[in-house]
Amino acid sequence: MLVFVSPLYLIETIRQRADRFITLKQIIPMKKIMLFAALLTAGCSITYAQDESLTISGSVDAYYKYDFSKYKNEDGLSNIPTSFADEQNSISLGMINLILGKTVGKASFVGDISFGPRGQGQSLLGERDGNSFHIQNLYMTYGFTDKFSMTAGFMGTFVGYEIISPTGNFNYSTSYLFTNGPFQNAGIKAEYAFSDKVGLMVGLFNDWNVYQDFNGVSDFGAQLSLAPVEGWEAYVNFLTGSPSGTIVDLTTTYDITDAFKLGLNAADFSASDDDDGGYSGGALYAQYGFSDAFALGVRGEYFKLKDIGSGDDLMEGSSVVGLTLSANVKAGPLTIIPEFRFDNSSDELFYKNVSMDPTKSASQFSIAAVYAF
Amino acid sequence: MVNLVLLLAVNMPIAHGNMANNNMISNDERFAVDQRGKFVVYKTEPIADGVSFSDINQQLTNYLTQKGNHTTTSGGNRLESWGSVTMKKHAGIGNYVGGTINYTLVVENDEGELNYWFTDLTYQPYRNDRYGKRVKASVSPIPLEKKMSKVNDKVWNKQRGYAYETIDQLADEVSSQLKAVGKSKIVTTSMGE
Repeated sequence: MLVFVSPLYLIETIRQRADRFITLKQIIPMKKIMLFAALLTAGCSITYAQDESLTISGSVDAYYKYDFSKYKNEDGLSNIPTSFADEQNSISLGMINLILGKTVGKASFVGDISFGPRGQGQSLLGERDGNSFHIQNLYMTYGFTDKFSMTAGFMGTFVGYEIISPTGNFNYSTSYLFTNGPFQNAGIKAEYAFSDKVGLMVGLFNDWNVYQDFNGVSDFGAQLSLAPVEGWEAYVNFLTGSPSGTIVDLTTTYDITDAFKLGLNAADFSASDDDDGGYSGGALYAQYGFSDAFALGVRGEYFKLKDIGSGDDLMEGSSVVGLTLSANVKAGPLTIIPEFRFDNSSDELFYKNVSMDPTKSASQFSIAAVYAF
Repeated sequence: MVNLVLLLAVNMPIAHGNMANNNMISNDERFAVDQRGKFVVYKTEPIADGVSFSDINQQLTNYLTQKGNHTTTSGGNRLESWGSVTMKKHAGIGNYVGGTINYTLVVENDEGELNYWFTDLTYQPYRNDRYGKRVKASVSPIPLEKKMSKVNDKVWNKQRGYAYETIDQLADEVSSQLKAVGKSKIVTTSMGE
């Protein structure tokens, strides 16, 4: 039997899995704890660091989106199932994001809270009682030396190209790779800079996207960062653990000139349970700034869900090619993002009209306003 | 000695050695402009009796090194220092949420008078990364002399105003350092007579 798996299915599966997993129990390997205890006590030399006053920054964002099929489900969501810009024919809220930070000597913290759909249910999983703590980042860092630091807390994931904050993305709608990848990782990590060009991070983390992990600290993550030449940065990311699975991710950006930027994200995810499949894909980003006020950018993405099961129970994974053209119009701290997006799937994943006739493609227009402060 | 020429915003040249200062600049940017077309914050300070340029050099080098600057001296009467200073106020364009001003500080001994000025002023914007941490938002810092598009002109001028305040404050610190040369530090304690 051949059954197609839609991206929506996978997103929902991941969320359900995360909810389900917090009821399971897992024991942290003692070796991992010993390793980090050793790292914590190592290399405590004193270095000079400037004290900084408390910084407050953040953003607010809102958008309008129109799916040309006019289709929307009972929740008001339209065809393309990626994160955030998802409500059909509605002037909708993103979030208000407030970020506090402070450094005193070698110690620093970041507290990053968010309110609104983008900053709550769309990017943060609810706690046991269904509440959200509204926290995107809450972590403390201690710089033992100029090269070695440790960070503990709840952190935006190190995996992937796009981020939750709309100020960090050129396109307003997000990629399938972003939507299906981790959003946050709570844990403890050690970072070491071998040089200006090479750095390594290793860490122990909770399962994806949870403030509290009832499975215990179950994931191991690592990031190799490279900066071969000025303007070119590359990150090889690895995150594995049960129950979520294993993801290998390459994220790289190259500022060819001050105006022209290229980016690439490629990832492969395998669920820890073979029956849950996974995904792989790549996204290419190209952006050109015509002036300080106007830039154009395009994102081309290929996303493929892995097959699930075998034999008669085989569910063949669908693939999607997404093409997104966005402009950034900047007027001071306000950025307006008009955007056109066209997605084409290998299977009939979308609806062509309100009568829900299936089709392989979907297209939408959106316009968003993002204010950074 | 550098043939520093200050031009007012109306492009009126003032020869080096004039007691020109930034208060004379009446445009909205407040910076003076040198013969290269670069913005300058320019100050003068008389050298106190009994103080040599070597003493000044030592005092300033110590102060600037503490700030993380790279400092060199040449010809026994000229000091150059490269560094950056964090802006306390910020206007912002796009996703820029903070920034620093990079500068070159030049100090010259001109026959009993110290001329010093900040030049090569560039703005390095910062943005928030995925962790909410501030990181550089552009590959290259933006020269303060750069013209922005009409829609951003007002906020950019505001940004430059903040940059001027930041550098002016730094110039005051340099002035305090210069005035402290040759003076012993007096510390008040709570000890009795």
